[in-house]
Amino acid sequence: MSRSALASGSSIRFSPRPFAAGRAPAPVRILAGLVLPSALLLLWHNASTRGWAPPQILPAPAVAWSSFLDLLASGDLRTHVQASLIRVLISFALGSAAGLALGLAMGLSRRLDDLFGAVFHGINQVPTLGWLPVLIVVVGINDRLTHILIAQAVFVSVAINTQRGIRQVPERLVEVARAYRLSRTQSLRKVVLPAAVPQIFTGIRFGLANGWASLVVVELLVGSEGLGYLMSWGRQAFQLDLVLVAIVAVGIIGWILDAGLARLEGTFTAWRTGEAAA
Amino acid sequence: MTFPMLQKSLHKRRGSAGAEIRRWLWKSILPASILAFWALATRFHWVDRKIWASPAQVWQATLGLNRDGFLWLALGESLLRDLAGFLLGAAAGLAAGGVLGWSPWAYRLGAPTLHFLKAIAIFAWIPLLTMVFGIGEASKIVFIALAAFYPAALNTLEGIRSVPKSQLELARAYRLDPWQRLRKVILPSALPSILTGVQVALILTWLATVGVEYFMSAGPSVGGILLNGAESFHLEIVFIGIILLGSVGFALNQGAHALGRRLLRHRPQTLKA
Repeated sequence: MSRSALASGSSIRFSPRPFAAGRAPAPVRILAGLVLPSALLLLWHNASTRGWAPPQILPAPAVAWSSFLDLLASGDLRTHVQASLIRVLISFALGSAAGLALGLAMGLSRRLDDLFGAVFHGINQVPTLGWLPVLIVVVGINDRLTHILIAQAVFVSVAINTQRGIRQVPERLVEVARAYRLSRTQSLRKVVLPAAVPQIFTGIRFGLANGWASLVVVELLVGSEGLGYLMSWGRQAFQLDLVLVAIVAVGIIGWILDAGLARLEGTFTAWRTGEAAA
Repeated sequence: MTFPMLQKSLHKRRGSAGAEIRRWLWKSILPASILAFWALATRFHWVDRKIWASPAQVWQATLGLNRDGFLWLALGESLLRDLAGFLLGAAAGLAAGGVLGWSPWAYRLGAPTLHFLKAIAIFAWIPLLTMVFGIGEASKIVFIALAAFYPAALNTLEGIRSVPKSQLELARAYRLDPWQRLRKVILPSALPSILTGVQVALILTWLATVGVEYFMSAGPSVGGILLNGAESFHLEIVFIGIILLGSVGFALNQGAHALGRRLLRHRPQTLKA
């Protein structure tokens, strides 16, 4: 790139976004976004039809598509997705409830924070993957293991972020609450919690993402149904098409879960600003 | 009515030496009682002794396992693997993020795909990787690199894209060439985000390392210790693995943050708009 390219302003425009990219009209953006996936698909198609890779390793896109349709028609895909989703949602509910409770306790009371802090941060140093072998030995390989492991992954990030969110409520807000002589419940409900909501939601979103990722790990290792199991089965049967279908499903569901929480966060933010203004 | 409890608990208070000691004692109640309970429970067979090892047994097992320096060997193997994957993945991520952040067209073409791929839980790639690369070292390092790639790429991308418009306009007014623009405007402003990406990558690669050792059998390694412990039902071995896993993670985290702070301290002045 030369000086003249810079001077012509090819990459600097007076747009609200620094690098103009997000400002292209929607159809252009969508089409541009599809270029790379299409190119990859074409490459994949050529690789398999011209025999660049053996079909056991790389089945043609058409094969993968038809196994997707088969899985859909036979209801197998639904069964596996359902199994995975139910596991995650149960564990998510348990883990986030417990995480909220501990996070609130540790956020609101320094004594409780001191009491639980050391053990909590110690446990937090060890990732979910580390607890898996412990649970295999202690609980055995069953659904309870899956629930505990995923709930733990959710629990840690919800608890940490709730505690932090409450701790980071600006002192001046607390002072305002005091000046207004709000009762403890009132100040909690009207000042502290609304101010902590964004961080708490960060924790919940991280938690769900962690939980979903841990689910895949657990199902790969010990599942008898679910998307992770579908993958490991596909690998053992040398059916890459199944593996690919499962990978895409994991991606799409993970994305939907996160997008759902993002929407929920929007609703809560509305509540928060509404309450704060009142 | 005031609420001293909230006031006191939300914000740090300074205490006397006596208060500090009392606080420290209070802090150690739970860890100490867990340790004591563990010792008592194994001593008096309140728990299944076939599964639960006593604290002394964990210590014995550590010494036994480390007789020929096995633990150091395992730790070294894992760390080397981690490092190789991290360097590969972080470099690729920085490059990809740089290109996508720099060029609007590259962003339009590549970002949607990148965001979709990011949504796929990383361990979901393991079956595919083992089919394509086998379960050798290459497969493991590619997987670890993948774990480093996303955070490095996305944070670089975001960092560059969020360089304030005013600074870019100023760069244009000063007629900086692309190299100067990168060095004086974009890097200083994007550096915190890029460093965050590298830090996250470092932490994630350690998880990925142990995870991949767990999924693809790998000689002496931290993941191997965990796996062997679980398969042979020796909880004391699992505990050793967990302690290794946790302390390396902790050290990496601390190191990454210290490095980040150091680099940001020396960061060149940004152009003032």
